[in-house]
Amino acid sequence: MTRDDDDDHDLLRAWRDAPHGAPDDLLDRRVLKAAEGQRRRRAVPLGLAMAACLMLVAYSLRTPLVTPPPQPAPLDTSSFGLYEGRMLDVAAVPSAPQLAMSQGEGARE
Amino acid sequence: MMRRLAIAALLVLAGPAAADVGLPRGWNFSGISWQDYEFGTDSVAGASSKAAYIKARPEIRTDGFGGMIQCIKAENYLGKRLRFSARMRSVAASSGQLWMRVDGPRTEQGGAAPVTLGFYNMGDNPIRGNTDWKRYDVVLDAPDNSVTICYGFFLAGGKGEVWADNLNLEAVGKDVPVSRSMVMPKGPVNLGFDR
Repeated sequence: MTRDDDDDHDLLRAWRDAPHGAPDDLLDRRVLKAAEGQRRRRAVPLGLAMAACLMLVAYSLRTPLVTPPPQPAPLDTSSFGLYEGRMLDVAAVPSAPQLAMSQGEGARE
Repeated sequence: MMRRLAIAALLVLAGPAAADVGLPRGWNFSGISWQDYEFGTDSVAGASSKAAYIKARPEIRTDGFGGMIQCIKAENYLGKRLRFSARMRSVAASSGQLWMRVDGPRTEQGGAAPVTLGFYNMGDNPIRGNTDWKRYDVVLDAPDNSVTICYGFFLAGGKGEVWADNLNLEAVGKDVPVSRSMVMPKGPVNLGFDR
């Protein structure tokens, strides 16, 4: 049974429930009332769907779909200093300070 | 890279000009990114003497490090346990570290780099963020075949600044524990990757 069948059934029942000999305006009111109920019932799922859509839109606007950037790996400094000053020829320099560095370092005397 | 090499060449050739960058006498630059840092000395609250600083240049982003280094002959320290100490503080520092290295002879005449006999640089416990003055130690053995000893401090990661004063290199007793250093294990380790 479809939704329309239900609505037709309601209208038919309103027609049948009308007492015989009732004034036409009474019958009209009942039919109009059943028709109004039919419109209301049809509007409910549509309203619910619209509300759901609005909620989805509002949610998507509030929480933009961006993934947090990955945390950079902690800087590994365990070898820093391991190669510094290796190009020095200490035999040629009597004492500290030394002048030349291994990785393009500058120096001050 | 070319820019750094050019700057380094200029600094080496024009020695006195290097004074303009604030490096204290007797100290040299170290680190592949030393140009990204400022060096100098100043009197600051809490320092017992004039303190040296390394500051990251705020306009430059770098993961490299810049530091101050000094290398000396090891002949006066052979067979001794050495402690290099300093008081240090930091301001929003990414990674400030005190370090020392003991080198042995070169393995080939004029060829290969010297053998590293001991090395520690606080890589497992760097100074980060804001810290007040505190003493830090690096302790290494200088075996009888030691040739050079290099030491200093640096700032890595390109953020903040690190200060140091009261630097000292001294021989200590064997009861002073050696800083954990990078040494080769005596046998294979974890070949099955199960740990």
